[in-house]
Amino acid sequence: MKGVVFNLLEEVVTDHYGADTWDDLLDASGLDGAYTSLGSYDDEQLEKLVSSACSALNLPRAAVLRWFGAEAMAHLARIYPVFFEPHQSTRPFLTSVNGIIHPEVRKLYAGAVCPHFNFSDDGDALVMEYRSPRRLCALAEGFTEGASAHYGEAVEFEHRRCVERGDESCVFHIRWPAKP
Amino acid sequence: MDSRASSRETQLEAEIRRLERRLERERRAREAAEAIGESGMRELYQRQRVLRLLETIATASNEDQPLQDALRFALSQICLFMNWAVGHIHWVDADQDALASSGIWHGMDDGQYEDFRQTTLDTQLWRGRGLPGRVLESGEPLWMPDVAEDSNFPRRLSARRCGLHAAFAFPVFIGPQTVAVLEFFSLEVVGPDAEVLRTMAQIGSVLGRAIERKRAEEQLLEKVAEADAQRRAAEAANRAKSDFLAVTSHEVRTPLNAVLGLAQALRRESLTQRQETLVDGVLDAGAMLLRLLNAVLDLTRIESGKMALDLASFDLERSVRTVVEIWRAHASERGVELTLDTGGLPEACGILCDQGKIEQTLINLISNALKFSPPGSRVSVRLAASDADADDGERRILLEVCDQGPGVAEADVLRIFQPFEQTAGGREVGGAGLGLSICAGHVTLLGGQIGVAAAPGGGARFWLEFRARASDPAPAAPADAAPEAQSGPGRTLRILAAEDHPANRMVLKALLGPMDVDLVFAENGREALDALVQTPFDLVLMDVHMPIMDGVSALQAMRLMGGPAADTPVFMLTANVFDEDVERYQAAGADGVVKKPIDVRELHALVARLGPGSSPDGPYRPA
Repeated sequence: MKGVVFNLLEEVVTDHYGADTWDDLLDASGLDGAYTSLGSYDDEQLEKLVSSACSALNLPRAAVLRWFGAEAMAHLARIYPVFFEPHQSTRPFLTSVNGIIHPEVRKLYAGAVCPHFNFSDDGDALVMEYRSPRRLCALAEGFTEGASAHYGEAVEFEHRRCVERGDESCVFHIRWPAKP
Repeated sequence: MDSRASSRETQLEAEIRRLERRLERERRAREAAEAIGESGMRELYQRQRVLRLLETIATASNEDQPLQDALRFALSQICLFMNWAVGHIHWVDADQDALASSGIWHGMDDGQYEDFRQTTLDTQLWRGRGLPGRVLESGEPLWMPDVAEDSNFPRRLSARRCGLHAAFAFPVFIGPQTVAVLEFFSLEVVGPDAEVLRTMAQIGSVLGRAIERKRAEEQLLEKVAEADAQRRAAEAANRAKSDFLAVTSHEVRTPLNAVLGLAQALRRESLTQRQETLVDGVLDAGAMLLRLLNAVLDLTRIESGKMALDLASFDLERSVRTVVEIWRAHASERGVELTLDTGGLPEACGILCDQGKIEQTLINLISNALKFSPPGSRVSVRLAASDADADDGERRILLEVCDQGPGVAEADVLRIFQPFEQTAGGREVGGAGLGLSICAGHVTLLGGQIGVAAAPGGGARFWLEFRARASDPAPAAPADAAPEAQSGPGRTLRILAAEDHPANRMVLKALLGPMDVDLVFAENGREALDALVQTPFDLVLMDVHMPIMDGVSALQAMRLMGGPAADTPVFMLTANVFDEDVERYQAAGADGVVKKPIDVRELHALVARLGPGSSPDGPYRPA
């Protein structure tokens, strides 16, 4: 996992709960926490931090990841406005992830392993399929919610299939109902 | 109060410890970021070096230089890249089993590793044995941290003596075949570098393509050389054939000359009407045979590229008119009208060109046209020329001969200008299939074109077109000028004839007999010189080809003799009257040439010019 994700996590936690909480999470996870955005760290370190957060907040892993994703989006929009500015709404922003955002991420962070999403249409819903051994589908859900918030849209995120439930891949049906 | 202060102090200390901890975390994160940045820069630099190495080797491999040089350059570049001491190439045999030193090395200049080079030459390596053998077996690059200590490195003792330690080798492929293994040696013990091996694998494919291409080029060159050799052999065979034809023709011409000379002499005897007709028959047939032989010789010269242009200024109209006039009589004998149209000629049409070749070509075309013309028909010759071009001063000249005969079949149009190609019609009228190819040869030599088309109203229209520089023709020599007969010695002329062939001696005797001359024969050049030493002569007739001493050598010796004999006029007797032959005779000191077969009129004119003799009578003109 690239260091930039740990940096994001640190910012989100510090913003909401203060720097001491981040220190506590690091202590609870037994990590020294010297993360640089250019570095690469074991996925396990992220899992430890998430797990510590779960214990501290008494929330399931998915809820923590989803919260992190949604909150991280605002920070990402501040650091990388170039990925957000070309779009007026969430849907085209999401569908640009394979072709534009991830290739740029790979350029910025050598060795970054980005997931690939399969997109399709189902009536008014965008169908998004996620396959990754990292099982970070809840993070993807959080990112989608964060992006929708960025564009000022309400979003209905339906997690139809999930590896956590024994499915082969995760499939999301995403709708952005028109504003009343 | 104290406890509050102390608790506040404790809080502050805890806060400071937290901040210090965060600071420490940040410092370590920064150091990690710097290390990542530096290693990224190093990686970039290394990658650039690798790219430069690949590019340099690829560029050199594509250059037009021998394969050995390209490979030696690759060795030196890799050694430079690695900062290693020695590089070497093994060839792999076609069975993919044995390895042999290519003799291409890097690092052998100062003799420091000569022991290792020699050991390499003396060590048998094969699939699986030694560093290159293992590379051949696996098809993969291989790194040995220290060959001096490696049990599967048969050259390890030599490596140890030379201080060579780390080594790697990689294969060069053409398709699935390993064609070579490159090996490199360092003076240090160095652990494996996977990145270097990956780079070397890439270099292996670059070199493989280069070797493949160079080998293909070499094979192509070999094939070209082979084809060239075959072509040369074919040409040599053709030349041998032409030479044989020329020699044979030449050999036939010698006795034929005697036959014609003797027949001419016989014709001058007092004969009955019937006998005269018979002798004329012999002369006509002989003349025809001679023309055929000369045509073969001409063609041989054209084919061998020995025919040269003899340029002189002349009046084109006069030249063409003379030929047409001469042939008009032959035409009317066959009941054919021969006309000349010079309407397309400018006022004065002098050109600088080879008059003989133009005339010979025209004669061939007229003679051909007459052969195919039925009685009562017409052969028309048309001559046209442009004014001199303002740029190059050249005229464009068109000469055409139209007949009203059967014409040329479409299928024969291209064929008839090839030597020994004959149409059915040509065979019927008794041609040898040489005339038109000689015409084509002449016209090509003039830089022009020759062709045939259907004449308007049936028959054939042969045409030729060429360019020639416009010029003022030299004043024509007065035609049929009487030979001068004033400068002679005023007594019986003494003539020495050197001639080895008895029949030719007989011809000379028969032709000169009726004249007031004293004729002495020599049978070779040596005898001729002996005769000249003994008595003075007024004229020497010298055959060119003679045994013991040939005519030219005798002439040269004679001119160097000193005394009056050295200045005796010498005329060469020869059938070889090509320009270069005549030049050779003149260079040797000849005053002129008497052409074989001897034309009695020409011989008598020569004798008359040198002294009082009987005037030429009854000249024989070849038909």
